[in-house]
Amino acid sequence: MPAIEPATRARAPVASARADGGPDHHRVRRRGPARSERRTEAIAGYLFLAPWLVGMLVITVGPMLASLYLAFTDYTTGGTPEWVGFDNFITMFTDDPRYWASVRVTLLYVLVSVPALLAFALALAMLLNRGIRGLPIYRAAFYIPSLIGGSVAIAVLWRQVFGSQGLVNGVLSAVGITGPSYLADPAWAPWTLIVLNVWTFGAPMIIFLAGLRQIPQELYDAAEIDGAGRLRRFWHITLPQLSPVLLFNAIITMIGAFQAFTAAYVLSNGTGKPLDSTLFYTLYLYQSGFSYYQFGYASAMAWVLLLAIAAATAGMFLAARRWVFYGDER
Amino acid sequence: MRGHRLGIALATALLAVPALAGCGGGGDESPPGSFRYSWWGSGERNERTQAVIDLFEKAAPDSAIETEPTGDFNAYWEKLTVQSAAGGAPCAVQMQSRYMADYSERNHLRPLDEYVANGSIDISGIPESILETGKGSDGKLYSIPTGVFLYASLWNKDMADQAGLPAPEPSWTWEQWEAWLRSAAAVLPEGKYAADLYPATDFSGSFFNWVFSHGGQVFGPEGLAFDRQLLVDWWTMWDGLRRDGVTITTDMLIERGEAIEELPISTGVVLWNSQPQNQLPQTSAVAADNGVGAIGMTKLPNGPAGAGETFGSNGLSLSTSCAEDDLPAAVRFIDFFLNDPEAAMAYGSTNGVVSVESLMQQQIDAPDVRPELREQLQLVQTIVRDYNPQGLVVPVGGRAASDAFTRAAQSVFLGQASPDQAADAFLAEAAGAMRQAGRGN
Repeated sequence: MPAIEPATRARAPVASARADGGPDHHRVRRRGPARSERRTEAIAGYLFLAPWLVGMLVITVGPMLASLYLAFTDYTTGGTPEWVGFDNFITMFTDDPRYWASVRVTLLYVLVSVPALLAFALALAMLLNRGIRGLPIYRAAFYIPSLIGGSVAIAVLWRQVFGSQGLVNGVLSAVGITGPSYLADPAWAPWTLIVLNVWTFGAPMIIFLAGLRQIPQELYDAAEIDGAGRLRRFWHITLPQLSPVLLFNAIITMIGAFQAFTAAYVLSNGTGKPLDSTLFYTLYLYQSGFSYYQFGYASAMAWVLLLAIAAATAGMFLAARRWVFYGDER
Repeated sequence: MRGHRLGIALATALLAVPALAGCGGGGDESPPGSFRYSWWGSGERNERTQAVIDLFEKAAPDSAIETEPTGDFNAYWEKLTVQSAAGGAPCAVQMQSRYMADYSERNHLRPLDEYVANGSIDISGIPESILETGKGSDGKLYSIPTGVFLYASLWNKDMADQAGLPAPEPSWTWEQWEAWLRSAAAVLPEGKYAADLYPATDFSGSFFNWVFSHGGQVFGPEGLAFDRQLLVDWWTMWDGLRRDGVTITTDMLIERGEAIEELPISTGVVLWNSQPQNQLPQTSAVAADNGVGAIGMTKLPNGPAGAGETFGSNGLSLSTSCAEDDLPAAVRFIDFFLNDPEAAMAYGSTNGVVSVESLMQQQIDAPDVRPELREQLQLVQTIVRDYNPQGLVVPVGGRAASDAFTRAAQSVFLGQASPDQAADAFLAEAAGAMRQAGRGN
């Protein structure tokens, strides 16, 4: 067993590269004239940053603070925001069945599609991590759905696939099964969006692939000599070695899933039909603001979503202490 | 080297900052007389609108119009909401009576009464009842109605002929209409249906007709004003038709797109549908392309209280974002759009029958007018003349009520609620939405 303890050597080159840069730096810092040079460099650095900083302040931070204020007001366009304290939040939590419908759909979507997507991406990455002929072509091919997955065209295609006369039912009818309309049945509709999300596995797959490449082959060789089977090697080498990458992918995918919008918007013409079964949180937020002009309420919803994502991310980081293995730990 | 790098950084920053500031938008540095104009529509309507704009720019050479068309109807309103909220709405905006309150009550539109009073906009050709649909709840004129639309019965003439069915008559009652649909369903081939189901879910035309023809009112001072039972009866009737296979299935209803190309009547799947009359030319054209037959049109059925005709208007409004400098030109454009005979001819009533009576007659009499256009002009003329239609202005919050109506209807057709339960759900939700929307002002 000790032979398959994850090794630390893989990380070593990175650490030494960092250390190499150190001494030079210290020497430069001690010299007098260099100080003003550093300051000039700092100014230049900030100036280079300025476009981004200004953009960040004007386009992101400013509107965020404005929306925080609006979340505590009753505000419709053209009027003046009227301070209502926590009214929007109280309405949301106690008196809005559509809000809870949107929370349920979104949670189902996050809890099912994120693990499924990660598992699928990892499985494919492992498959593509072997020496098959024409591998670059497969990699590119598997990445394509991610490029077009969020697009309107795919949502339109999805209608052709999952409609009552669609591709899926066409195949099913060939074996004598009459399938439902997956898009028109409220019990099925959210699952079509989950499948659509899992299908866009390209980006996490590429990241997994890069992670797999980093795992030293000798670990596998040693384990194999010790008689570890394929499953064992996966469980004791691949997963621990890959865990930081897995955490990264999980967080990015989860945040993306919480914020998912386009597919539901296009598939339901912006309505969340049938019967709010595809009413994602962001879709309801959008409706509240841009269809029903309740900008105060929509802002409150946005902040609850932000906090929920922050809490879920923090929860993941906390849990990660137990299962994520960084190479330099013992 | 150092100075060089600093220089690049400075230049980058200097270049970027105004560019970012420019993103804030809304600022209008164009010369006076050039203004933005937005409308919904695509294809032919855009060409026709452009033709009107070209005529205007020829008549008013010191004016220039920046065009902002949006292809999708719903997207148009969402965009206008964002633009209005940010104070960057185009100067001249296309308006619709169903949506106007959401903008006028929120001070996004400029009252036009002063321009009428000083003679800049001549509204003398518009019948009073049509003009009313451009007025807000404060009695001020916020939109100059340029086109009239009303919901009509559309049916596939070839399908009716093949099934040996008579054409629907304007004198028909709802019962006669239902009997006609049922007899059609009995003889139509497999895969064809007598009626679309969409009208049952749409909080507009045909349901409003149903209410009026039963002596009710859709809206009153307190929001919704119709009898709950009328709504229950409406959904009960449609659900019966659906269960008996007279209408398309629920699956088809929910999967169905809203573009004219996707309508079951355009693809020859249904015999009957209710649509705004100005969709006749395009629906006919698509049906002809699909080789599914010619489309006929008549008024919707009558109820115990007689005809229940309602209409809405599309018009032109001035946004409060409009720069003072540009107002005269924009006002002149509205008057030109409304009254210029050449412009009206070029526009060809593509977004509702032209509201000025003399221009309507001119288009009916024009020798080269398309038959579908003449048909819709005559239908509107007849209804306005003979049936005393009610102009409909939807109060603020109507959009949320309309969405709630569709959801409640779908819950009936999905078998998840009875018409009674659905009516209760809709009334509660719509009342809440309208109260909430009204409160913010």
